Amino acid sequence: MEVEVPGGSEAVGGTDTGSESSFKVSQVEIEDVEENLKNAEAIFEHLEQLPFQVFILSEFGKPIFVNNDRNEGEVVSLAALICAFVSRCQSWGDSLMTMTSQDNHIQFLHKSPLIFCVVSKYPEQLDQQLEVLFEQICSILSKSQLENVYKKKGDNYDLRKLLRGTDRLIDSSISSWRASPINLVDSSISAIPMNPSDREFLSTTMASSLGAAKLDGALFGIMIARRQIAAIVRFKKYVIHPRDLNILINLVSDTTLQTDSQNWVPICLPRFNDTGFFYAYISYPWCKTDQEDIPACLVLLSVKRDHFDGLKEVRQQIVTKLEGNAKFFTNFSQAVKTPNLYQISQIGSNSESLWSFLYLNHSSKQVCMSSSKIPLITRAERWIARCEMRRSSSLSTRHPHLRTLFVRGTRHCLFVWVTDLFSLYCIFGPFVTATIAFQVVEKLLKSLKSHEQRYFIINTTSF
Amino acid sequence: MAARNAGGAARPGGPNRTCQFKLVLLGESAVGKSSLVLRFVKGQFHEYQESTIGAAFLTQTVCLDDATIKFEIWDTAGQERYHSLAPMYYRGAQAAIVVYDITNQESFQKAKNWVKELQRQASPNIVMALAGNKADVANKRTVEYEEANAYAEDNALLFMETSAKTSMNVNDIFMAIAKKLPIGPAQGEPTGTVDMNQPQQQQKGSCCK
Amino acid sequence: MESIANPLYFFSNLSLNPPSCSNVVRFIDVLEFFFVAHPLSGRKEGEEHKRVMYFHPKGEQLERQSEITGFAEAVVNFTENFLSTSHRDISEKLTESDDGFDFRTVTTQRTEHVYIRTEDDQFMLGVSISKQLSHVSDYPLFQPAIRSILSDAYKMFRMFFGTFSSFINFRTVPDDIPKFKERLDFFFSKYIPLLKVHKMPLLDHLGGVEFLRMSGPLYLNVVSLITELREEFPIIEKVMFLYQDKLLYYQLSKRDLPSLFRYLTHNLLPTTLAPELEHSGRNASKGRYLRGPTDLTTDVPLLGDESLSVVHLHSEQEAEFQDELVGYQMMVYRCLNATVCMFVRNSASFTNGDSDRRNSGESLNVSQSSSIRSSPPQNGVVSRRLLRNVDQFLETELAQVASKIGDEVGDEKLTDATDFHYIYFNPSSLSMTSSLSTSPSLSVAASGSASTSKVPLPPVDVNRLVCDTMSNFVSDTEEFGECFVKSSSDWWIVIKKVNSRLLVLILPPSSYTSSLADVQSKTATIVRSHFEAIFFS
Repeated sequence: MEVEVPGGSEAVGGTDTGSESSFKVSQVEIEDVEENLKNAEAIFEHLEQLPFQVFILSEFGKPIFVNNDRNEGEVVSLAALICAFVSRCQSWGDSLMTMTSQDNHIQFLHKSPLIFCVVSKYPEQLDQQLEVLFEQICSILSKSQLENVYKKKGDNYDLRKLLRGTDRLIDSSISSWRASPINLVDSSISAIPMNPSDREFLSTTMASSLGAAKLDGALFGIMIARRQIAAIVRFKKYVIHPRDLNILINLVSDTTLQTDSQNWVPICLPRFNDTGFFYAYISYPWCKTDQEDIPACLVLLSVKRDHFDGLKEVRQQIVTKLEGNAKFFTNFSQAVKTPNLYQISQIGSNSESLWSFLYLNHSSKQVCMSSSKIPLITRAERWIARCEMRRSSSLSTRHPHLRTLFVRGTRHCLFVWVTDLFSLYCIFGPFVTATIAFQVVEKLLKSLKSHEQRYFIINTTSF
Repeated sequence: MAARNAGGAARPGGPNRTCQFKLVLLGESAVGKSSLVLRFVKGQFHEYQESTIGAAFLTQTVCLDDATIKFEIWDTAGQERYHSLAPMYYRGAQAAIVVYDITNQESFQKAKNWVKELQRQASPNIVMALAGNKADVANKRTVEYEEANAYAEDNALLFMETSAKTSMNVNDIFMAIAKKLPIGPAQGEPTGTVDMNQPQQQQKGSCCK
Repeated sequence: MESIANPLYFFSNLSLNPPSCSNVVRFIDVLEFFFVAHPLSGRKEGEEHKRVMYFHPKGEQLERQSEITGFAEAVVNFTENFLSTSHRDISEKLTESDDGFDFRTVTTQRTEHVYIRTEDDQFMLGVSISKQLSHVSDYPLFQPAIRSILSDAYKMFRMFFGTFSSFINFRTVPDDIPKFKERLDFFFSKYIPLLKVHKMPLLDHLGGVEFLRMSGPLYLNVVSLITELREEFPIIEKVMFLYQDKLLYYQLSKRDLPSLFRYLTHNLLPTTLAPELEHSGRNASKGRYLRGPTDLTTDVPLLGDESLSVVHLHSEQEAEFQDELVGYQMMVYRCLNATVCMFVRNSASFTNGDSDRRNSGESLNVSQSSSIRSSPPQNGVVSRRLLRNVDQFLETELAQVASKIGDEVGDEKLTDATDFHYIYFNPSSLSMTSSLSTSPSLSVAASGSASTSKVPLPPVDVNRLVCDTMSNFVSDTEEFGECFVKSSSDWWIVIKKVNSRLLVLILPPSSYTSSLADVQSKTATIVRSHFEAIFFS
């Protein structure tokens, strides 16, 4: 089937996919009063337990971070064991990757001088998640500083001294794994749905303000809300990698970050340059003010540490211009406060059988996920849908030659379509036929294409 | 600096001038810098305030006699890894509050180091205050008032024990700093030192534009 | 201890070296190590190496053997830290009566390890497969299959020699350990090098048995023959009836079926029948025992080379019961391509290999005196006279039935070449057929063709995709399910589950099956033409 591929053809750098919070807003929480799915309860239970237990330690066995409540003694001995396992494999000229038992998967990652370990019931893409954690730590210290610190201070050095205060960043990174249906692995961006003209206005405003400031070293301007991107502008041809954007999103989505202050945060973006630091000007211009509460965050990135004042001016200009355009501002605050995700009903007739989809454009690395729709409304139901998608995404990663997958189950059907240009994951009702599924999918792609400016960032403005 | 209101000196701009000062908070991690700022700027206090990441910038305006003083406050993160960034904040600052926790002797030692550093590296005219925070848990005190006070006197620092939780002395310390800040000389008057590395900073000693 | 009565005599070199285009791989070609360990034996500091009961490759340094087994033990202990309470309960309930043993897997950059724990977790068997060697051999590493292969190896040993615990029990004299090691060595040194695994690992994982489909009346003939046999000779407790290399009928515990079937079709029959096939026709119609004495005319006790082998089988047929293993003497009678295996319970006073616990009414881990085990085979319950009588009975009866079967089989085009590959499996009967399975030398010679499909074998990544899709999207617990997968090489995979019966179709690239709808209709056609009876009966 010939399709026009929605979502752009150029990589733009991106964030992880829409998170829990975007769902919370756009649908009605229905109490699962009665039975529902038998599994749902069990799964719900799992959700309450810790789905990912993470250990970070130095390669000399000293614990650095754990996210579960074990007492100190237990942690120390577990860390020592982890270190011993990793070393033993190393002594065999090999490198330890996983251990599994009946229902638990333990993933290891050794990135000198650190060792990462995660225990989970969900085996998908644990290795990538650990890589993300490593990059998270690099973002705080920079890779070169991380590597040097043990050389300078010895094997016994307690890295926690340097990482003080960042536990919550690592925690929130871990929590986002559960919320995201296709993990950050896919390094994808998710755009806040906006009127094309609004996004255009936002981008040009940001770009022109940054351009006019002539700050040599200011490279990126990003408007983030709800872990999604409203707009991104860049200096000339510089690009920011989705993984780095993830790290930024993780930082600014941390709700405890002072929203009433402007923040100036040194941050290393490992995919851009793992030895040096950017300085991120972070502000929430309309957050919890007297008039508004728009959870949008403006991030301006520069490599020069003395650009704060300059960027403060830029921000002021941007804010003034945006507020000056009443129509834009109303739309924008609406779009951010109650994100209007793609409604499946937009596809048209016969689309009732489609319950949920996730579309990923490989070239532009952007994701579009449908808004919740009956019967996938409650947390537990959405979790099941997410699990299916994760499992298929994982299968697709292990088998890059996979093109089509259609699974008919008793509760729903899963339809996955992978091409070189895009991947599409769909959950249909259990009675759908292949023919209908294809028809709906075809219409969906056409619809996405025609609305692509709304759901994707097609052009990133440069300054 | 009480000469400010001394009669005779003509002040440009007339009454109700607005002055801006850059003020930086320094001190070990978890002594309560952010809490002090939050109390001063928003009148709020959070029991479990999270660690600052990087530095936060806020402003607060106060009225003093016939002048309006706007503080541009840099609340810095106290962690070790940010130490090398500190000069970025205190250079060009007209005021600094070095904070320690009265229940933590080590934080007091660290505060002394900060004072030394400021004395060496910051502007010689910088107004410095020492704040012994968490005065509300005086029963767990390990740093005596007298000890800190003596140290402050020896080093020409303003000193108050504060509590961001109860708001004790929070406004006071900022006001005390405000009183000590030079509001007066006309623009353009040459000042003692100009930091050539910070072309964008405001001229030392003169605040009003 | 290598005597002709010992079943392992027949684990000899008479196996095929699989050509590279075949559908099997020699296990030893991808294996890095294999071990049997008894952790309790290695508890003392400085004596950790004592936990190693068997290790392959033999030449491996003791220190490394100790490291490897120690690592495995540590993995087990470490993972215990992460069982949630509810799962702790489940794992405690996991017994050998379930399909699988408690297991762990370890993946490294270069290898995959699988460890299983048997007999109340007292023993551990482990294996390491090299990713590189697997890649070279086009063998798709599928952990569940490796686990099954490992379990099967354990079960095979247990069938011939009894449980591990019967050798090692701290209530007994420690001398048993050398004996245990010797037995392990004797068995695995032959078993491992000869072991072949399927390039479609799902076949090894499902572990089914190939049945011969027969018409109703003929089937009833077989059933009544067996019934009469057992009425006539009540001492016979269990029976298996095979024709060529396929199973027709059995009366024994399903749990023993796969091991026995494999032993018969992969080892006993091929090795004992090779001569027969070479000189086909001669004495083909005369029934004979494949093992045991050649001269039945006397009443001399069966000793030494003339003894029947003893296998350890589950005494009850119901899976619910926690039952013990009991020794049975095995009589294998053959006539006109039909093979009847009869099992007679061995008594405690006469033993061959491991003893029978049933008579004494004791449980599995009863203490054994080493003298019993090491004594030369004695006469079991089965006497020459019994053999004679059974021979007389079966000679005519079996010949009749066998020839009727032969006629029916000859008529049907059993090896109808298909333009697709398939796997069919019925978990309740264990019946499995596939175009991708090995054909023991028996049917190769008989039918002249090793493959029932005229389609080339699926590429290794398709095989891998089949397995991965199965384990991810076809639930073990659901009775129904359907899955269609396409790879970029245009192979289609269809997995259908109806009433818990499993059908896997692997369709090569073709212009008739390019879209999902095409494949769905093609599947329906195939099911109607080839699998209707199986699926919906």
